[in-house]
Amino acid sequence: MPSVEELAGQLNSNDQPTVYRAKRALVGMAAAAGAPGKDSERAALAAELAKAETAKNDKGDAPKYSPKARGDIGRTLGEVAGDMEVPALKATLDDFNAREMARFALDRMTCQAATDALADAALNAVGIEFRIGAINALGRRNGSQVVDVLKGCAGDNDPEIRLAAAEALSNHADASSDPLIVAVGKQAGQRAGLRIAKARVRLAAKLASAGQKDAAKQIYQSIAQGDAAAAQKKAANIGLAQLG
Amino acid sequence: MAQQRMASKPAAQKPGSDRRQFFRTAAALAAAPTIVPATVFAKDDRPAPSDRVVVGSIGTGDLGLRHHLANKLLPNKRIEMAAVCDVDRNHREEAAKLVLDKTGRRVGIYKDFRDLCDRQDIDAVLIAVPDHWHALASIYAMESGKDVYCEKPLTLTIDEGKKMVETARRYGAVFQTGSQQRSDSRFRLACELVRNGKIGKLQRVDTQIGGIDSGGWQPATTPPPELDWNFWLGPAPYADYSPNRCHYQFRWFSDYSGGKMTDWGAHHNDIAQWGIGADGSGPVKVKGTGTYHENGPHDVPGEFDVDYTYANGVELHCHSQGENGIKFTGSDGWLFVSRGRIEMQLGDKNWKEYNELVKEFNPDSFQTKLYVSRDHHENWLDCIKSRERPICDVEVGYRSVTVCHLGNLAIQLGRELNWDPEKEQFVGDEQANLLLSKPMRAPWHV
Repeated sequence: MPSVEELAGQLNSNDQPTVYRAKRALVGMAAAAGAPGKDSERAALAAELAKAETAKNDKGDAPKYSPKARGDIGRTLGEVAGDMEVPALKATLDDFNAREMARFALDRMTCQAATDALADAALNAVGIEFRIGAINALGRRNGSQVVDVLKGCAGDNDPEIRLAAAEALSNHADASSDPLIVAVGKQAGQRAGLRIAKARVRLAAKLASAGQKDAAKQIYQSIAQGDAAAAQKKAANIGLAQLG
Repeated sequence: MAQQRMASKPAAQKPGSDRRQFFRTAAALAAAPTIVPATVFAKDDRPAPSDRVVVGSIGTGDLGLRHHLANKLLPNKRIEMAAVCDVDRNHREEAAKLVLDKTGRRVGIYKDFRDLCDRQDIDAVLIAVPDHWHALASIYAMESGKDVYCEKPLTLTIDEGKKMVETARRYGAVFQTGSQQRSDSRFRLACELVRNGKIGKLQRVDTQIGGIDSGGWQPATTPPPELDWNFWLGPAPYADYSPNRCHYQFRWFSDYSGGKMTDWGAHHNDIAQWGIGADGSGPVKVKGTGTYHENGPHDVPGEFDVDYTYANGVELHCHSQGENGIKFTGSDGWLFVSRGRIEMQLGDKNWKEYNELVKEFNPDSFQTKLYVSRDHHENWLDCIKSRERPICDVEVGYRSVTVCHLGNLAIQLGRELNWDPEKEQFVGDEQANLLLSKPMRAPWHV
């Protein structure tokens, strides 16, 4: 069985079958190490992958492995990594050529350090689309810290960031997000307004399923009686009927 | 008049205007002594415009164009085609030309499915895009008030299916999954025989769905000018373009699809679920072995054997080898069904014809009768009108493709997995649960 370092070297190859075989080997290693009860194997593999992710060339002035290779290493990390590997992935978030797969890895990871790294990227990273990727990832995570970060993004200067944050907030059962979502909608154009209306339906449904029926009802009623599109009014009425 | 409306651009339509509302208004006007356009009423053997479903076609490649548009949508008198959409200009323009040639009508032509879905005059969409787009396009369409027919396999991941079901229920959307074997009388008869105990107590189901070859490497190249490659990739990780990653061949790359396991599994495992009576549920255990091609490029299992166990003890075995079809084995006999044939054996008695089985067992007398649909598209249209659930409703499609995804994950992870079909998650396997979803490239998310 080749080492992670050897496989990372193969990922650097220009020969497509060689890269393919290295990727398949990494998938197999992650599966074996990630089995229940194999915590030490998982930790050891994650550490090796993180080392390869941040390895420098002989001069020490550039990454040892290509962006594509680090992308593949990063994706594998997402299936086995824990708190200890977040610094390596966070470092890759600063590398424009490799950061997307590092974000994918953090997106998969459930630890608090990964959430912190995504929150930092959502607020502070350079590049609208990249920040939106981090915001979308936060939309699938739980916790008041996440909601606070998303609320901050909902007040961002960039309209696309505000919209993404409003949509991500709709995945969290927090009724206090609704005024912020509505405010984002008021600053937006026609299609963006539709996105906001869809987000409010999602928020109301999320609140309803979390048992916050009064808050859900209030939002549904506001949609049903407001100037939302027919589809959102219909969804609001369905939601109201389900609430009784 | 309807023709004129469809040719108009979305921006020219009144916000909130609704085609059915328009026809309701037209019908009210008809009661008044005034001149009413003849097109409001039924003509020849076509339904009145108010009874037609205005459809947009999203994804007009081989399947979307040849199978759906040419063979199913355009010949159907209950459908009025309003728009076509594809990220490949040649595909969308070929589709628009086909509509023009067949109907004399010019339809809206779109690259971005969101532009098509934003049109208020479109009632329903037929989605035949690559698998990694199914959830995104379907959810956007339902949230835009459309009813949906979406090709199988319904999802790329298990979590996408949960979101699709939630959205369909939230918006009251009529959603047909394109696992059309449910609308084939041979498969229905097979499942009714099994469900009514005609082969005794069901013990085992074998689905045989075929494997794939390794494919061949092609050098990365510049995408053709007619194709928006970045849009085609959408939520999937960026990859350089080569022709054999794209149209049709995408099925054999795990970033876009689940290989043969989902491509044909979404048909035969769907029938297995129907015969087992597991719609809305699924197996509780899965383990499998598979081979991956040594040198690629296809990175989904080439050959495989997957074993599932249901809570009632029934076993499902999904294989790449063997005659394409489904074999149900019970305590008293067996039944094989495929698109080409049906055969049943009980002791020394054997039936090889559909009509013989109907005559022998008289399905009209069965206690358990299954949903009857004689045509998958017609059933979708019927349900759009009645607002009932189609035969292959979104949850049916989601649960069937979940069986396929469970198989692929068991092969990938190389261990037995315990699945909780109620909670829709793995039991005691944190890594497996991470694989229920896939991160998406921004700005896409479900």
